[in-house]
Amino acid sequence: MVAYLTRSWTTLLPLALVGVLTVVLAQGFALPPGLLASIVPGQPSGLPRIGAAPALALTTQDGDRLALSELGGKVVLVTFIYTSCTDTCPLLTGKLAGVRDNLGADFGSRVHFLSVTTDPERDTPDVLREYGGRFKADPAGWAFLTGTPAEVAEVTGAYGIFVRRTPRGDVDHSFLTSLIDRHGTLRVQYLGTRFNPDELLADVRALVRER
Amino acid sequence: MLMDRATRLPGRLSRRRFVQAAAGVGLSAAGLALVSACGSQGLPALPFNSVSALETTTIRIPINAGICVAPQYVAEDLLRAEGFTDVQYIQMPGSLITGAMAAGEIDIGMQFSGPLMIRIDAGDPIVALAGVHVGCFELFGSDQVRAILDLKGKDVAINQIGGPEHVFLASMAAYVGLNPTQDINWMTLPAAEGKQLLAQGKIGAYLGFPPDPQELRASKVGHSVVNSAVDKPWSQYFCCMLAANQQFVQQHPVATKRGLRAVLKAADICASDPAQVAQLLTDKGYTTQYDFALQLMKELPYDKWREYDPEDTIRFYALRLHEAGMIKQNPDVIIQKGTNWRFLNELKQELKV
Repeated sequence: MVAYLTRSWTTLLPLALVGVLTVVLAQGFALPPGLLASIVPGQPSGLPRIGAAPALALTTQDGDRLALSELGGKVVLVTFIYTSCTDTCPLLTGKLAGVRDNLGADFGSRVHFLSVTTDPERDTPDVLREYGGRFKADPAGWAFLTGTPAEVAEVTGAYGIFVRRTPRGDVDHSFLTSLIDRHGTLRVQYLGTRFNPDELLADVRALVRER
Repeated sequence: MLMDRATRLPGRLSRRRFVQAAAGVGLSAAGLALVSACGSQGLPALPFNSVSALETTTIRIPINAGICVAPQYVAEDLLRAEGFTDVQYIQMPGSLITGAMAAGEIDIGMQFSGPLMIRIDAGDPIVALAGVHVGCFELFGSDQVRAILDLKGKDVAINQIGGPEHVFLASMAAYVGLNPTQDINWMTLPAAEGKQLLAQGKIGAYLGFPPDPQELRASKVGHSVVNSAVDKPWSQYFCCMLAANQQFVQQHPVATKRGLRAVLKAADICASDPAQVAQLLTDKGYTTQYDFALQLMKELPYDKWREYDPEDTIRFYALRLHEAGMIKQNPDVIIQKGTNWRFLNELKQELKV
């Protein structure tokens, strides 16, 4: 009887291991889209492909011209702010700074942030440089962009941002942060400023690892 | 994904057409190369939000006294940002919206789920695209009405037979086993008169849509019997859905998706910034009562469009309306004939908060 059990276990043990492995893998693949891909290189992110990200070419805080097309091969985050905004824009920029801190070495080398002003008349490169400095933004990975009003209007329109100057001089605009993959495809957008930064971080990492 | 032709016919877009389309929207040479390099992955050729992909830049939306449909008003600027240059708000009573939608006089708009189903059941070319918010209607009773069952034999004021008040109350009556046709005495009256009769105790109940419930509560008229924003099962289903003319959807899939995207973004804004939205509704003249608008924005769950399944709403109300004898077909037929969740399902993935 003992010998029978021993033989059975030697036969069944590999099968049991295969079974356990199968369950573990199945659970792994049932993880939310983005989470597994943020861990395993090459794993599809599961994020949708909305369309080709609209082209943009504007002036950075250092006075250089930067086009989205120059960032090919990097995951790009595009957001819209203006520097004299005292409530929501700093919250959004601060949230992105937190994501930057968690990206580690990927920030700059594989991930680039673009914060486009919605107030180009006041937000000159100098103003943007000072604003970025408040968030310790390294220009190597985080460009604050401005341009002529017409250039900026073209970009805000292309990304679906509405912008309106109020009589008080503020700029009403919608908050929409767009995540673009390494191939220039818009993958997901985050509305407002209350999105979960951990979810954004996971999505960014998933796109970094995605083939 | 944007439902442009390239997306709908993957692999059938010639490179020449692709280049023409991309150049037409001002994509830079470098950008073109970038996108072109991705062609093997079946990516759409046109940039997100490209104006040239829009089949029409005109969109017609109903407007009426109801403010629970705030997302479609808040959406005005967002629609312009989506590329619509001609955003028309067409004034009409709420009871005429489904008819106007079926006739193609309006393209897209929010409407109560019950009346939508009645029109779909009747064969009208209307397509429900998404649920937008839960629970705006509220049943107020006199001292004699403490529960829905108490409506038996009572006078109930509604605007119109077949209108939203009638349809929702008939659904509620059917749900508790009443025969809405035989057991309730329906009185068709203007809203103001109905509220006045309730205040005088001359009718048993009044079903109000915003801002009626806020007004009745403020003036302490009657008492709430059912508040569909919080009372189950009503709070588990959408009240207002976004629907469109069927031909508009078929001929303008990109415009349909962008219109839906603008309204759903606006619903998120209603949920996250109620004070700002209440102010906008007041400033633009949709209401004169800021306090009621703010109360409404805070009470209504505008953040359920991702969470709740609109098909559950169709099934629930279709069964109730079938029990009440107001529709003939079963929920599956209504869903097959009059819904299209494709755009909603895409947006649930594409738009996060």
